[in-house]
Amino acid sequence: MISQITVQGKLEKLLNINQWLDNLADQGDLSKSSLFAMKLCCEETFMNIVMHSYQPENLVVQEEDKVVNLAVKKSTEDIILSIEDNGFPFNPLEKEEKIIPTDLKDVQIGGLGISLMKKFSKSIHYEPKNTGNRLIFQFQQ
Amino acid sequence: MAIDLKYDTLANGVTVVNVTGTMDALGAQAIDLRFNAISGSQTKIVVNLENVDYLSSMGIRTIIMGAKVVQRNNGKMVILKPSSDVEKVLTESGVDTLIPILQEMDAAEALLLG
Repeated sequence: MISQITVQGKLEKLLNINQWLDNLADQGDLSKSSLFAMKLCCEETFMNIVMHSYQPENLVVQEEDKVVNLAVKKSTEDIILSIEDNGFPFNPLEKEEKIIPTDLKDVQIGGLGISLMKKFSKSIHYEPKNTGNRLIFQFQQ
Repeated sequence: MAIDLKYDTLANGVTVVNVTGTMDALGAQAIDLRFNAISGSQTKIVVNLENVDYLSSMGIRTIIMGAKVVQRNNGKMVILKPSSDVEKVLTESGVDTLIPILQEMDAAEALLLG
């Protein structure tokens, strides 16, 4: 294990996640392109959790107990990023990918995050937990 | 990195919006209102991303919302000089098929004024 961080599932905590990843990069543990891809996958996952995982109808935890754990470790060739939440069970990989229209007037806002995560990582694996979800990303070093 | 937005309208009527910093969810939230106000009041817009180090789907949302307003007003928007990482986000999400991405200001002005 290289590093891990636990944050509350609130938008402003994105800043803490980015600082954590910047620190890892400063220590020489991440290349510039890996850092960019990991920031993108962290943000898209985190925003999905913040915006959808704790909606009132899905609420399974109290406001102060929304917790997201992020951890990074390296294998010989890859970087593994795991993101765990304690929100409503949801597998984003099963969501249908958005098709972008070719005319701006037909474009509906939103829904790009999951396809970006797939494009910027080597693989993504979903695991349901007893109380939440875990996404495991693989990136090239 | 925080975010900053400045804009200037040139003598030929082209408005250049210079965004500096990180267009993540927090950055997008910080510039949304100003970006929308500019998009609603100008019809020839260059969005200069030369000094943007990062872009996520929430940053794309800001740009697309602005571009839709510009189109409704019969205007045009182009994106200028994204870094290779930022350009990859734009192309992988299909934004390049909706908003032209250019590397030279001359070409951007020509497209808007043509």
